[in-house]
Amino acid sequence: MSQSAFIHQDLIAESIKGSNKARYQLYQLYSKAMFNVCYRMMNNREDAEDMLQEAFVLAFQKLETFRNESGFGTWLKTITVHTCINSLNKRKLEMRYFDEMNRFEIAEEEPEEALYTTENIREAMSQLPEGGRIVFSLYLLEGYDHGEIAQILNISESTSKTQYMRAKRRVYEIMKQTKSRAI
Amino acid sequence: MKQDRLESFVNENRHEFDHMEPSDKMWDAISNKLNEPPKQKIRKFGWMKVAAVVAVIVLIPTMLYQVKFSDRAQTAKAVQVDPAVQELMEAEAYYAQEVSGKLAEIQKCYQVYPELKSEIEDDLNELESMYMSLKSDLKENISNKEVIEAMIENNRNRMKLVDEVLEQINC
Repeated sequence: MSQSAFIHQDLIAESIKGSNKARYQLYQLYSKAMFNVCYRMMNNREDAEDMLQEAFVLAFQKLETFRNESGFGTWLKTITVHTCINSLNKRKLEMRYFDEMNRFEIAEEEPEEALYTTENIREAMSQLPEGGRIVFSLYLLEGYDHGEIAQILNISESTSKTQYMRAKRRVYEIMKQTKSRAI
Repeated sequence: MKQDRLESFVNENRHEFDHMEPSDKMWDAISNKLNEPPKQKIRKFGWMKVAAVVAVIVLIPTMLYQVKFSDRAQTAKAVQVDPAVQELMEAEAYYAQEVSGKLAEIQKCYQVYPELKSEIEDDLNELESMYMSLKSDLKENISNKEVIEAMIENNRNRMKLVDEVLEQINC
C-alpha cells in the first residue's frame, strides 16, 4: 500500500496544485474500486453514484491533509465509507440491523461448494438488512476489523461481531434458496 | 479467527466483487463541482481579508497614538485643562494680592498696637505652613478635589484673619 502511495506522489502533488489532468488520472485509478465500495454500502446504483461523486470531491478538497502513513487507496476508502455512512445516518429511518431475537441463531450448515459464486454471494448480500449488509461488507470485502467497524458505525465491537455472524448465516440461507429456485 | 469457506472464497475472488462500473458522466460532475465552489470560497476569503486590512489600518494608528501620546496627554490634561486646578491658581493669586494689601494696612498700625505684629504674623505663618503641606499633597495627587478645596479654604481663612484684624484695630 505504502509503495503505491509513493508511486502516486507526483499525481497527488499535482492534484493539490489544482491540475485537472492529475486529478482525472487519480480518479481513473480508483473510481471503480470506490464505486463498488459505494454500491455495497448503498445497495443501489443511483445512491452509489451520488456517494462516489461526493467522496471524490471531498477527497480532492482535503487532499493536502493526506499523509503517506496509510496508502492513498486506504485513505480514499476511509473517506468513501464515511461519506456513505454519513448519508445513511442522515436518513430519517434508523439503520436496520438483525434483531436480537433471531431465528438465524441456530447454526446453519454451509452451502455446498457449487453454490459459491460471486454472483450468488452478491445477490445474497443485497438481500441483507442494511446494518448487517454494511458490517458484512466492511469486514469481509473492505478489510476492516471489528474494532474499526465499531468506530465507523458507532456500535459496540460485540454488536459488529454478532451482526457479522448473523449476516453470514443469512447469506448461507439465501444461497441455498437460490439453489432450490434454480432447480 | 479461522477462515470458513465463504471467507476464503471471497478473499480468493476479491477482485470479482468489484464488478460495477461507474457511469462515464461521473468525472464531469466531480470536475465541475471541484471547479465551481472555490469561487465562493475565494470571495468569502477576500471579504474577510478586506475586513482584516481595514481593522489593522484603523487599529494601528490608534494604538500608536495611545502609546506615544498618552503620557503627554495626561499631564497636559491635569495641569492645563483641569478646571479645579485652574480655579485654585486663580484663587491663590487673588487672595495673595488681597491679603498682602490688607496686611500692609495693618502694618501701619503696628506702632499703635505693637503686640499685633507677632500675633498676626504667627497666625499667617501657621496658615502658610499648612498651605505648603497641602501644595505638596496636590503634587502627589494631582487634581484631588479635597486638597484643592482645603487650599482655597486656607486662602479664605487668611483673608478672614486680616479682615477681622482690620475691623478690630481701626487705627
